Amino acid sequence: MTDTMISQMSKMQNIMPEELLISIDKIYLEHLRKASRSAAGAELDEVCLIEFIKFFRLATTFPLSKIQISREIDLVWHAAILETKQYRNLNETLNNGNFLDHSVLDSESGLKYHSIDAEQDDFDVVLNYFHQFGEFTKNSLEFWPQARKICERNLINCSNLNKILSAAIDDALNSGKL
Amino acid sequence: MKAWISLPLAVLTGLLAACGKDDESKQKANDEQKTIKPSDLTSNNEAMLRVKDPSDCGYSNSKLRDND
Repeated sequence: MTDTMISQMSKMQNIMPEELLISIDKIYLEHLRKASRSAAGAELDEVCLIEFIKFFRLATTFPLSKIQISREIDLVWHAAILETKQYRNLNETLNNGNFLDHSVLDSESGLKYHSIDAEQDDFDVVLNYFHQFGEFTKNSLEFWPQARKICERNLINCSNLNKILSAAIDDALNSGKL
Repeated sequence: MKAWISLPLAVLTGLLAACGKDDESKQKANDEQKTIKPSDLTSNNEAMLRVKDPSDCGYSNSKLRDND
């Protein structure tokens, strides 16, 4: 890998998911858009696509994170994997070549992405989503079951969730955990 | 990407409790504001229309009719 490529990669690590879309092959991006539309409907297709990219980055950068994804994100992921060559490129472009495997047979991966229901895991994932990508919106919340669970369990709305996560990040900063 | 953060669940529980208290006090303040006192009604016809039972304000229906 050349120095220029490494430099481009490291710059990409700080780019927001919305901006990363331009680095994806146009035909493949259209394929992912169609999958998002089919999974989430015309009103939320773009949000679904962006949230898929966020999941993709979070899951690859932090392979031990216990992320639970929505059915819609999973469907986009399935569509992404179908085009193997472009999926490999997507991993190289967005994740420094760290390959994000999908498995429901492997008990660890299966549990990891589909059925974890531990409050600490939920908090970790939601907190780190906020830390990396900023506030949840009413629409983006739809695609993150762990964030929805925190809201439902504690009878809070999206705005209160963001306030709590922001305060938690401040707490981490003040206590030197960041 | 920034580094992964891990905070104990107690942080979330504490913040939720604080948020709950905050909402509770806001709700109490709102409820107090919504309470219509009889004195509010003497010079405010619009407020009077919002009162379900005129007897709450010291007026009976017949008195209201008499005044008409």
